[in-house]
Amino acid sequence: MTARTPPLPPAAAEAAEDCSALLDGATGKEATVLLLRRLGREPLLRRRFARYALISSALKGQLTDLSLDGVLADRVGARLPAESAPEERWIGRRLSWVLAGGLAVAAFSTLVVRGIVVLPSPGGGRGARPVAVETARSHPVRLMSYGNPGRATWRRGAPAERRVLDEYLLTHLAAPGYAPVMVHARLATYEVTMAGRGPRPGRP
Amino acid sequence: MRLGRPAVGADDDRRLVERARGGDKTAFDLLVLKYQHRVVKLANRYLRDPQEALDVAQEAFLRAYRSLGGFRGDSAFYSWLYRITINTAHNHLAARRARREETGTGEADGNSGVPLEDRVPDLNTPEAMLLSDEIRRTIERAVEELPDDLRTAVVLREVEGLSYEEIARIMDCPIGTVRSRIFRAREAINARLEPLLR
Repeated sequence: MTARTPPLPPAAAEAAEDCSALLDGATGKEATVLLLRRLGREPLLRRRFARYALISSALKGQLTDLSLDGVLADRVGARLPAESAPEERWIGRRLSWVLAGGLAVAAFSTLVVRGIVVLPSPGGGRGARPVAVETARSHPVRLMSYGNPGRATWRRGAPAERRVLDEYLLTHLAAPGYAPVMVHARLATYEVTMAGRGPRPGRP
Repeated sequence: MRLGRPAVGADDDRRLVERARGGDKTAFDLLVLKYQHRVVKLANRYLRDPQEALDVAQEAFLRAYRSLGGFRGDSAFYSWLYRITINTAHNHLAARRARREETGTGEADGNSGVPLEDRVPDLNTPEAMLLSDEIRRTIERAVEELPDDLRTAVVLREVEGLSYEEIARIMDCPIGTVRSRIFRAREAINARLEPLLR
């Protein structure tokens, strides 16, 4: 329910006029900082601002059929102390993106070292073609690449290494945002051929 | 007098947004006070349920606060908040549809997404609606009865959305006078509202 706004003493009238100007974005930077401090500790002044905002909404034809004053703002305000400052949050998020990008590059480098990334060959097209790769200790693995087969140096098809391949595919095919750092990777999927059975597609 | 044209200057909230971005919760509180009616009205246009509209408005404001670090200020704060509200309302509608399909009922529970303790009380009672109508009528009457200079200043500001500088040019007076006239107009309207809001 909208709270009462008792008449302000003359000393507070100036602050109320500042509130009115603040609502219109007509206060200077320093004045805004000082006024916000007062508004944070003087409920009467905050009510004044709320009342001006109510009048403004009504004059714009935006008053709802609900007496919101002091309810919605209080509910939102009650949740804010648990939130970090938006700028800190934003910087944190950007740092985590940078970290994720770094991890992706590191994962890519690892995969290149382990020889499970299919490198493109000149004149490659867009179609996916299978490349049969014999594994040393496990089932044969077929790598499906975009374009021409190129060189595929899959050494082993052990489950642990297939997990690495799965992770690679999940990271690089499911997250287009990483595409720019993967210009040399054309691996689309892979199949594990079980003895006496048909090919079993890779999880991605 | 024709009321109802929303008018928001791109720069009006710059100071409050700057402060809120840095974690000044009072600044964000004032943005909520300023836009709560518009946001609830917008959400209700999508949801056709005042209670759910309140929940969505609450969620939209919290999302806005969390995303404020990425708000560049290229557009007006309200335009940005408007998009967040619409997205939140769409998500809410999708969740409502999914719940209906899941339960096989045509009933919406109207309580999705927002924990019980965070739900705003139902204010859409007949008494509250009557009061809102009365507030609206009282404000309109109060504006009509204002002295010419105060009425012109407040209407140019609130209805036409002009800046203090533009109003000063039109009324051929200093900006300080415009500021004072708008304040006095608001105070006069507020005085008329007092008996209703006791």
